[in-house]
Order: sequence, then C-alpha cells, then structure tokens
Amino acid sequence: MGEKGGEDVTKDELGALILQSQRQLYVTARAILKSDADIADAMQETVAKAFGKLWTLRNDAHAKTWLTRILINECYTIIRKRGRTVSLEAMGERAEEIAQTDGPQDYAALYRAIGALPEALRLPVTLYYLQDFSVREVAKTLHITEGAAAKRLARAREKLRDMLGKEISE
Amino acid sequence: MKIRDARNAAPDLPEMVGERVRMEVNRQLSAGERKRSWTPARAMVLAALCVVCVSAVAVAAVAYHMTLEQRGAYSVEIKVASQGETAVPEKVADIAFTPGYVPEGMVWRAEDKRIASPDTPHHGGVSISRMLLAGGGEDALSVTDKNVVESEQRTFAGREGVYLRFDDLRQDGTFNQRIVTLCPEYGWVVTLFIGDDVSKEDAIRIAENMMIEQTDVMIDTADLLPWGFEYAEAIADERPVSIAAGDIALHGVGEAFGVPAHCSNAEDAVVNVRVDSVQIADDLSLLSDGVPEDWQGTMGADGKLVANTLSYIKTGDGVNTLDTVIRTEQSAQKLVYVTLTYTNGTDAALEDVLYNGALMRIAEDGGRLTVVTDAELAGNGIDRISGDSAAAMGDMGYWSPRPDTGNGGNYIARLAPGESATVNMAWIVNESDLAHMFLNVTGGASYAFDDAARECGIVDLRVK
Repeated sequence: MGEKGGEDVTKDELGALILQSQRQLYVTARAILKSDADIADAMQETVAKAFGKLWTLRNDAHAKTWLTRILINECYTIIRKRGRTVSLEAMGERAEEIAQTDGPQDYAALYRAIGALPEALRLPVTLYYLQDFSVREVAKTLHITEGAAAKRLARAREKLRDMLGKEISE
Repeated sequence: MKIRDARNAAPDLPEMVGERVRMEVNRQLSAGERKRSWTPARAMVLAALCVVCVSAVAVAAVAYHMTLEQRGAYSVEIKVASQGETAVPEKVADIAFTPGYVPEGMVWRAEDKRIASPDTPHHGGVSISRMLLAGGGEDALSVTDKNVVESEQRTFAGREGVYLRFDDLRQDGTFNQRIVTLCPEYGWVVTLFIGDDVSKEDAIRIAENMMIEQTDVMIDTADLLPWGFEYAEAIADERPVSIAAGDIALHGVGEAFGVPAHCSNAEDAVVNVRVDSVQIADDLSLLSDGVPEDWQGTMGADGKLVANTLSYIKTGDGVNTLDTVIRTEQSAQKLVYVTLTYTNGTDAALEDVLYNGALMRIAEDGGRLTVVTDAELAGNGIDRISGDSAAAMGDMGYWSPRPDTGNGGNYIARLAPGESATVNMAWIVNESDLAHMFLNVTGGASYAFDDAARECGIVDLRVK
C-alpha cells in the first residue's frame, strides 16, 4: 500500500492522477502563460507542491480543482517574477486577426479567440469549456462565488461572439 | 460553432513539458527521497521568497508585547505595543494550524479551521482566525471588549496572550470565550473564538497545544486588515421601518405579482410570484427535503416542536453593567410552511433564478405599518428577548428546490418562457408571531421596507 496523504489519496494515486491529466493541466497553464519553458517550470513546481501538500487533499473527488488551483498559483508566481504581460493593444490586434479567419481554421480561430479574452474571462472559459469543470468547480478553483463564475462565462460568450462575428453556442 | 469545440484546436502536450512532469513525479514517488531538482526558474522563485522572508524576519526582530488593562467593571483593553515600528512587508507567508489537543467528542475540521462536535460542525467549539500584525511604535495597537466577566493575561506555550470570558446568559453554543495570542515570528495575531460548550481548561489546553507553521502561500498584505484595525462606524440604515399602509402593496394568498428575477443570463428580467398556500404545523413532517442542520433538536419525544424558553432582557452598557434577565416564559413554536409558484412571463428562458423569502414582523396601527422587534412588541422596558430554540423571523430556514447550481442552493435551475416552478419555504416561529407575519420575496431585507419591497409589495401571511 502506498504512503498515505490526507484521508483517501495515496502518493501513488496522486502520481497517476497527475500523469493522466498532464495535457489538461498544460491547456490550463496555456491560458495564463505563453512560453512552454515557463509552463514546464510551473507544472514541475505544481507536482512538487502537490506532493508536499497532499495532506490537505481530503478525497480524490476534489483532486481536479485542488491540482488546478496549485497550478494557477504557480503560473501567477512566474508571471509576477518575470513581469510577463500582454499589452491591451496587442490583445486588440489579436482579436482583429481572429475575426478575419474562417473556414477550416474555425476551431483554431475559436481557440485563439479564447486566448485573446481578458484573463478574468479566459480562465473560467478554459476550465469550464475545455476542461469540463462545473460552475461550482470553476468557482472553487478561482476563489470566486458561483454567481461571479456564471456571470464571467456569460460575458465571455458575448465577447467571443463579438470577436468571431458569428453565432457561438455552448 | 460550440465553444467546447475549441478543445479540438488545443495544443498537444510538448514532449519537453511532459518529460519534466514525469521526472518530478518519479522523483516524488522515489522511496524515502524527497529531492527536488533545481532549475534556474526554481532558484529565482526561491531567491524572491528569501527577500520576502527577510522582511518578515524584520517584523519579528521588533519586540512585540501584549498587555491587558481594565477599562470598567466589565470592559478590558488588549494592547500590543512594540519598541519600534517596521514597514509592513508587501507579502507575508500564511500560517497553518494543527491542533495537538482536541476535546473528547469533538473533531478538527481543517477546511474551516474549527474544532467542533461532528453533530454541530458550525456551532460552538473553537474557531481560529489570524490577523496581520502590523504597525506599532508610538501608537500601540489595541482592541477594547465589553461584557467581559473574566480576563487573564498569560502565556500559551511561550506565546504572550490573553484569555477572556464574556457574559453568557444561556449555554447555546455561542462564542463566550476568546484567546488572543501573539505570533510575531510569522507576523500574525492569532485569535481562538471558543463556544460555551468548551470548558476554560480545554480552551487553554487547545491554545497551548496548537501547532502553528508557516506555509509557502504568500499573501499580499494590502489585502489584509491588521489586528486592532478600527472599523468606521456603521453607516445608518436609511431604509424606513415604518410606512403608511397605502404606500405599499399588500398581496394576499393566491395573488400573483412581479419581482426582480435575479438570474445568471438576464439583467432586468421580472418573474411572477404567487403564494399558493400557508400551512401552520406543530411538527416538521412537511419538510420533504430533510430537516435543516439549524433545526436539529427542535423536536420533542412526542414528535412535536418543543417549547421555546424566552428570556426577557434589560441590556447593560457592557462597561459597568451587564445584561439582566427580567423574566422567562415558555412559548409554543410553529412551523410556517409556504408554497409559492414562480412563473416566467417573458419570452426568453431564465437560468439560475434566485429565490428568497424574508419573513417580516410588522405591527399595524393607525394606518401605519411598522417593522418591530419582539422586544418592541413586548414593551415594558424590555430591550431584547432571547430564545433557546430555533424560532426566528427573517430569512427562510428551509427551502426547496435545491439544484446543484448555486451557492446555498436557493435557485430554480431554468424557467422556459411561460414555464412555472413550485418553491417551498419554511420558518419556525414563536406562536405570538403568527399574527404579525408578512413575506418579502424580492430578495430584500426582513427588518426594513427597502426599495424593492415598496415597489413590488409584500404578502400578508397573518394568521388571525
């Protein structure tokens, strides 16, 4: 039996969970960081911290939000240390590029449009639509109320419609 | 196009990233080893943390000292003075608590930093909080408390602190003790709020055996209130508590009216509400969704609601006089169970429609409606009335449906255009309040006539 952490999750189980969800974690990190080198640092720190804090994880039903929250904190730590920001003008230019794209590139355009959203909207969209988090899980991960999470998702949908100039559904 | 389809364009995991993750997982799982690799990025983060830790150490290098001073027969002032003043660091490391002692019959709840009985996890017991230790110098930090019947300055496992016990007219799980301790090496003041279900001996033993450890979670001190912070005086509530009866619509049972629809997908929608029935009961059998935690223990051996023991109190000033119980009496408690219909009269679907009911105690006299307290109704110099059971006006104590969509669960998940949904709300009230009940379903207050209530009206539920 593996070494125990918390009440139900063993270290072996945590390791397996992390390896299974690497891609999802990567996609979430991409919503905050743009450089793969930064993302690699953030994800490695996340793994180390997750094992170190395993005692705070009470059962595997919460592991997804727990792990994602650690990752998001690590991504912001890197941003703060390296001062990486995207100017509003650059975001506006990207939004215009996206609006002009159509045809087979639609999915890519949609993905880029999500990337061009303001961060407060980009993260909830990434978690909800790309990672299948529930509204409650989004709220818990981002430390906001469920009402705020639902409102941000609604605003994000409107912005995506404006950016892409076409009908967007869930 | 569906937003979820964007995942088709999400990039694959780069091999370099995957390799780093696998290496770290393997390293963490290596038996007996907890080595971590040192990347340039990690070194940078560590260096930054060291800078912040130096600032925190600078706080600790200034000696803080806690004292207790009497300010009246029942009032004390806790002061924290320092020999010098340091600039508050931009960030401070958070602290984690691990109790070394938990009273028999109680458990430690790490998620909300409480020690409590498993049967009543949110009442009584011990609740732990920390506030930033900041400032000092010539202006000592201080907090003044009233209604203190016992106070003691002492140390708790080497930490300076004070023990306070407050006047407590009845044992009901409310916090009647407090232990405040200094934690200057980490930059915090730690407070234990202790319920009257914990003895003084256990409270002190909990404080003396509480392990406090610094975590690696850094908090912006700009987001924290320091211990001793003086809150600005509360702005007076300007909402009227008394209005002319003609200035507000009084709806009856069976009458539909519009109220703001607080929903997630529309800003100014309106939903129609109608109270279909009001049932008064001596037990809780109408509650099909289970008995709320706060109403546990309200049923007697005969299956009926127990009587509420009411204490009629003359309040003291808390400095030189305490509250005094003038008399006690028994009151029957009643379940008030209200069934409502919410209808979407718009041409668009409404999602996550919040519903809320606030029961108001209103006296009608000379063409005026006045929101009153039970003490005001009792008169004869009584300042407040305290009961030992669950009876209360105000926000609904029970509600249904409870979809898993919103905080508190008081939502209707979706109302299509023209669709209706049934909502049930319930309260336990003292029998004497049945003749004064009005229901506010606008989402507003129970203790004043706010704008929404005056605009939409309230429902007359009085049982004559």
